[in-house]
Amino acid sequence: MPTVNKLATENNAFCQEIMDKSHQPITSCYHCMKCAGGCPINFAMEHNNYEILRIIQLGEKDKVFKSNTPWLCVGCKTCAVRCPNGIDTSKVMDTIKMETIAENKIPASHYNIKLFYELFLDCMKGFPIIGGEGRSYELGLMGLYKLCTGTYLAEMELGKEMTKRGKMPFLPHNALKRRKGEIKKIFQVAKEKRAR
Amino acid sequence: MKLSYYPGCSLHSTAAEYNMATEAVFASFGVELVELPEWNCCGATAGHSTDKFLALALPLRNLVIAEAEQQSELVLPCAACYNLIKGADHYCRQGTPEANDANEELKSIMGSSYNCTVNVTHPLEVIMKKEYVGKVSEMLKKPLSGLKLAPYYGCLLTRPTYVAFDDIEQPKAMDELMKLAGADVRRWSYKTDCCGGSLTVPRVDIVYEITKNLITAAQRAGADAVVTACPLCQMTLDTRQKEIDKPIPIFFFTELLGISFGHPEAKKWMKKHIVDPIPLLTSLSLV
Repeated sequence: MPTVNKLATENNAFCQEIMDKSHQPITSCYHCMKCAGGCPINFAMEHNNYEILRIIQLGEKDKVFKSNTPWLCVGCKTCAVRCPNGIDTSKVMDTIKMETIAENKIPASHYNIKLFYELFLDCMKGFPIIGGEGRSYELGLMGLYKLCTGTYLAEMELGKEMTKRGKMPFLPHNALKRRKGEIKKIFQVAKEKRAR
Repeated sequence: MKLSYYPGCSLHSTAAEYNMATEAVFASFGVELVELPEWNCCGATAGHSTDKFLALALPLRNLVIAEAEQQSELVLPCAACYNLIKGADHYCRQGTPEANDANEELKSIMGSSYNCTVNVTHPLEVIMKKEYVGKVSEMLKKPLSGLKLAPYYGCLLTRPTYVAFDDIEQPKAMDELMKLAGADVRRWSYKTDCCGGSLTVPRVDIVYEITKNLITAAQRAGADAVVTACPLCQMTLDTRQKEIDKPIPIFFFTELLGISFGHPEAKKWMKKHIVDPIPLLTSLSLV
């Protein structure tokens, strides 16, 4: 792995940890800013993606964890295909999100994004009585999200239009028959791995 | 001929018309799309953002099923599912430690693991094969004459390089296909920009901003509609045009192909759109 910013990483366990977990050569970044130039969400981000890489190189963990940038990254991979050093910044952002969750340090301002992801996966595990294991369940997801965020009335009109057009089935799909329980087991293994 | 088909959750809900149109168009080519039994959600952004194991195991499970069903090809119309499942296939072929681990775990959960024998494809890639695209001109019943289109590929169909079947910065497959179907395809520079789909619920403010930029760019290029190959791009652009004076319809490429083939069900697909495409299509005598 080529190291451009060797000095920056010599005593920097945090940078090494994020590199190991994301498999991205963060120390190779020399801030050409091509990633930031192509990022579709940069207008809303506190730090551009190359800035996040620099902050990691400097080992400023708290600053990275507090930034909204990882949470706003949509994983479109524009940065990944344009980086001259082969860094997929979106994978670094995913790693930061996972680390923030593991250390339970999600800043309140990004909590809704994490909540949405969590509920999305919860719906996939299925529900008592109505089931739905293995598939996303749009109506349930939206209902739960609104309950948890107190945004009951927002976008009601759109929800009505979607339901009218048959785009939000009332009940979840129960597609797993012979292989029932496999998704629940996958989630169980994921939980055990996270606890390790 | 039969092809194994993984519709993905969106095609059973928010993009039901994409499912109908894709099945209809493949039927016109003499191909029956057979749904993969007991497939599961790929985990989407929620999976790969929050858990390393889920990010691989959820997509991979579908490939294990496809292999157990002795399928050599799996067609995925959703760009997000395509991206993640093709990615899982790529990492297994590369033999990364995470992919090997996920594969091992799946073996103990499902009884078999993935041996990298499935070719993961997108319907656009399949239709661009000579045996199908070569037939388009003779199958045309209602050429899309006068329909000014901005082809929109979004992010996950062409990036990263291991999923791309077209140029990553300047894809052309949909441009060529729509030109063959008779449409007036416009040049614009936003064809691979992301729609921000995964933020459409928790940060709708950002998505309104992106949609405004994309739609006004398409309109500046002279387009009267956008054509996509991804249910998330279509849903985001179709539902988030609040700040646009004259909202434009957002089509799936298989819908337009179906219309050009004179498919009798086409009007049913159009009724599922939020921005009503029927006035535009009627003005061009296409429905």
